[in-house]
Amino acid sequence: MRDPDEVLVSRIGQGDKRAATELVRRHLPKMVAVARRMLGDAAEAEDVAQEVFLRVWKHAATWTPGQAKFETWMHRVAMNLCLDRLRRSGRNAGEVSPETPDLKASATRDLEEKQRSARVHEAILELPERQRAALALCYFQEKSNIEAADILEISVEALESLLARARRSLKARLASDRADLLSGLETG
Amino acid sequence: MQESRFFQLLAAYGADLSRWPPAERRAAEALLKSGPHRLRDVWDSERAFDRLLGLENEHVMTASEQRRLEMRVMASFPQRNWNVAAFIPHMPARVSAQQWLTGGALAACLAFGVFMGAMTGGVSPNDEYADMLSLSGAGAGAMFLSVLDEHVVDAE
Repeated sequence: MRDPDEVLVSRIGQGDKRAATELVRRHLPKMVAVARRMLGDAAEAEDVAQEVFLRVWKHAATWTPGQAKFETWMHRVAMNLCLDRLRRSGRNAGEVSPETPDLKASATRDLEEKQRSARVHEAILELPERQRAALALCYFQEKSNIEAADILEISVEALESLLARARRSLKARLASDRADLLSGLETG
Repeated sequence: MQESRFFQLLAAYGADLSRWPPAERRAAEALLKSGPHRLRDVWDSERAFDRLLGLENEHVMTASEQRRLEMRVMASFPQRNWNVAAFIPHMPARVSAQQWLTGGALAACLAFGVFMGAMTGGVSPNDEYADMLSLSGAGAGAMFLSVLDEHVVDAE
């Protein structure tokens, strides 16, 4: 199947800024979302997304179609930038501070929902970075197992192992809140 | 599908079959229907956990946030040799040899005109001095002084 970004990337390689704008528009939210899940920080996620597209701009001319999808390559760049940042800053798993929910929400239900969401978000951010990356790609970015494995440069078996460990770990972390969280879901 | 494989996939991808490897979905569904009841129990438990994970709401960028970030990203691109055709509608992406020749001829004419103007239309130092006087008002002053001199001569 033809890469949907192939034509745009070829035009960007020739210096076409309009094509670059179109590609940015198409993929920016996904890049920000994956970086945000990895880093737990909106400003840093935006920096990562910017860096991804800067690399696209610089390297589009040397892109060879027919290997991985271009979007897969962008996700790989984003993921590596996130992992670099986490390592450089010395932040390990569990040290990523989640963004706090807006507590000014007036409606109680909204507030409870935000708190529940924040609790799950926090538990995800506490996962080791590779497990978090696997979960972000397969569960939230809706990548296929092959694409996610490709992005993380691991085998599908290794990806499945990361996902299984991530789920197991999350179950343990959320065990004490599980009943509350699920009852909230039923009443909400 | 072996039960062990079923549990292996369930542990990794959860109960949402759309995440499972496409080649194994049908076999998993068949096993769920015909297999032992405990498979369904484990399945239901994993589905509840999936719902719990689904509580994690993704922050969706607003249109203005996205626009701001798009502009920031585009502004970060270093300048390089632009493909002019990309900015001018209806202009061909590649300029033909004939178009290059036309453009080249125009540029040569312009250069020749500038050169001839410089050679023949130079400004003399006297002209320059006259211009300076007229601009500064010194011309009028000199005329006033010369008139004054005549009066002095007459008075003597």
